[in-house]
Amino acid sequence: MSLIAEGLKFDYPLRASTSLPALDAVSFSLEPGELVIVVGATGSGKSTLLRLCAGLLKPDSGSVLVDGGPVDAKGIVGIVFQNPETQFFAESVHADVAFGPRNLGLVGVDTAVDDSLSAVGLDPVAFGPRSPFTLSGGEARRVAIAGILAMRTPYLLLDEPTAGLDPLGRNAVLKALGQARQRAGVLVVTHDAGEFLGAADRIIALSEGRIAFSGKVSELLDDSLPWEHAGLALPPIVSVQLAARDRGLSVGRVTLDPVTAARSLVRAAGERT
Amino acid sequence: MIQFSDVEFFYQEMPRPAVSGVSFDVSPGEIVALVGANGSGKSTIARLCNGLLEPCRGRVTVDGIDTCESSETFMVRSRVGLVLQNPENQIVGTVVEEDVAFGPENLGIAPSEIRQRVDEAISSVGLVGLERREPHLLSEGQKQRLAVAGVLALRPTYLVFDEPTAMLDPRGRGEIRAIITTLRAEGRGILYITHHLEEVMHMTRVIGLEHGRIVFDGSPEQLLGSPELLDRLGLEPSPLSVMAAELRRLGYQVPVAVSDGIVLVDAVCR
Amino acid sequence: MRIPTTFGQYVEGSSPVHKLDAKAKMGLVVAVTVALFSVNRFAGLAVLAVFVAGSVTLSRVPWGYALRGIRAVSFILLVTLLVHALRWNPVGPVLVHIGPLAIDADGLKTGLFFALRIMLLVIGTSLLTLTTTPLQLTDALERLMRPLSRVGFPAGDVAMMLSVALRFIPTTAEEADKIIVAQSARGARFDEGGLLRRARAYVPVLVPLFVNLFRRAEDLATAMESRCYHGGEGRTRLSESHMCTHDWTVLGCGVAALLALAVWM
Repeated sequence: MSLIAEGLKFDYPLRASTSLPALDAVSFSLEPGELVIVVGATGSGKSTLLRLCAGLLKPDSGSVLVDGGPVDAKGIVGIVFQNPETQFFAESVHADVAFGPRNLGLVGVDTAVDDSLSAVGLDPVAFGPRSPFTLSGGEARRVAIAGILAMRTPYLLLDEPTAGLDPLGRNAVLKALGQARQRAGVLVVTHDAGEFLGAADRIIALSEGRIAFSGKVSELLDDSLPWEHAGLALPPIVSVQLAARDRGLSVGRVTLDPVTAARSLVRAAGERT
Repeated sequence: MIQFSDVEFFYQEMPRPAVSGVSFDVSPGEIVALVGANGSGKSTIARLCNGLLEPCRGRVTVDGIDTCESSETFMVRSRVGLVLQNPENQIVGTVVEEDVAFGPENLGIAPSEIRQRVDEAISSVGLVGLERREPHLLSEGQKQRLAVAGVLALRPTYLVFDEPTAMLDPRGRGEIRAIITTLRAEGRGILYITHHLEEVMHMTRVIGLEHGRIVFDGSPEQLLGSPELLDRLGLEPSPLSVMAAELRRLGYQVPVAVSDGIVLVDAVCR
Repeated sequence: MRIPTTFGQYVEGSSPVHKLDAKAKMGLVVAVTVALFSVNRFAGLAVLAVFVAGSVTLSRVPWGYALRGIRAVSFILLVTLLVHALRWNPVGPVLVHIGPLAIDADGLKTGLFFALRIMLLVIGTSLLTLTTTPLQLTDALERLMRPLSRVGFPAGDVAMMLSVALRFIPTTAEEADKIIVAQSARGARFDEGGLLRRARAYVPVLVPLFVNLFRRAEDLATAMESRCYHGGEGRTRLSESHMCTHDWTVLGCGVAALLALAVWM
């Protein structure tokens, strides 16, 4: 089962005959079990891509299909928008999280709810009965994400899921996504490549509506050129290692772990002398 | 200077104080970071700075004026500008220049002077040309700059920012940080609440709050040197900082506050 | 992505109508309304139609915009026409039968008269909002309400309320849109079932909207107080428009002519 986007083109209609080009010739695929991040500057088309993948927008040309079928069929794609905690409405956390699965007619809704709350690091017994309006920022964000996880969709799309959260909240969300990717294909749109690179399998970089580069994260940390051309900044931890390489130090594989990076830097410097 | 003297504040119906025993000051030309985990009392302190909240115990004074002095409320609020986290919810006017004019209008200032202040403020935040734009057509960064302009129109000596970049994208964050650098260069005193450690590094001083009490008041370098303290204050060092700390541990001369990784390469190559 | 329109759909321009003080325009709209409901001859309506059409032309607003309001009330127009045109016992030549009722020439004339009256009223008031910014409108309302503050009516506060409401209409519309999309993505359906079921389907939209509204109100109040807001009294304005000689003249002549028309026809 794969989600395949092919040749997506989309323009936002404005007044009369003018339109705002958003995406052009974008193709990629997503499989359950992988976490793919989409990066790009504001206006590069990231959010548009997400909406197309969720079936909320119809492309001007090209298609998004899951196993050859339409992507907007119920229960295929779960989408978490920016600041999803502003959409709470139920009296209890449990009821709010149950909304999605109930609408889908899933069996075992209560179990799905409890499992999702646990997946985001919240105890279902303690948090289930609470009012969603009394939660802290990080807790609220996690409950909102749980609300989509509970729908057990094979594909999960998230738009800036960690925006505005403090470090504690961010780590909790990252952990939840790591868990979710075990049985779903997860696509995360983010401004901050550095935050998700450690967790991601693949990365797609958009620039002005087109794919600037895409591929396995492990292969794209070795060269700063594609990033520069796309107008994106490499995470500082990576550019430091690349800069060392430019200086003639053989630092080996670029790593995202700071302690390892420090030690390999020291070792390379030692080797040179 | 804004001065807090042994301030304690309880919200109604709460058994524990939101802040207690808080004493510190902010002088013109300083930019002081206020950090702490969620619920540590940062927003309470922000609202105590301009008299929106009055201390239950202790005193808050602005250039010697007590914030509880009701006859001086407007003086205090003109001297201490407050910028909040959500740009949208600070904008009152139907077009940009009307919103910037809001503050001076409230003080009954003459229209010709309002015009001057509005133009000044709009120019300081780089929104020239957008005077008659409706707020909902602005980007998030522009909206937050508008909020700052609205506060600047009152010509404050001090500015308190409550996580002003939390809801902005990287471009918006850059815009706001640039403005703050300018404001500091103009000699204003700034209290800046954040949980982004990289913002803290360039500030004069850092005050750390934990459960409403000050547990740290010192330089950013001192703070960065204590991982345990960072954790208590809900701050996370960047991967680059962790790398720098490891190099230090291995005996290399590396500054505590690292913004450009090249410094680390230099240190290792020496 | 819908682009929300502002209240009244102000169309930017610099025509004489745009430049006329909002208070004068409001006065003229009142006079036109009085005249419309006082004339009882087609001739009178014709004169008013010329006046309204002339104003639209003078404003240089595209006729498409001016007539947009008609579409919104088209149902009311049809009902008005039929209510007056349909007769149980037709008098004179019958034009068409509709079941047990019939429309005769006289009924048609009456129906058209009333429908035309509504049409002119709609175009006239549309012209007001098309040529006046929301800010100018609320400022004018405030100025007109000011005398009432002497009897304790909080004119300044009401004006501030109106202005804040206008400011947040597009924002709230965008928010409602976002919430509907988000809840739809969670499987909510808004077009199934009977009236009661559909009404209940909107709970997941209305509750967040209201919660956000209250949070917004609190934030906004904090921001306003921090910027020294202390009620509507004692505030100066960045730009206040005053009635000049030209405005008074236009208002005076207009009202005089319209009232004369009202009395005569």
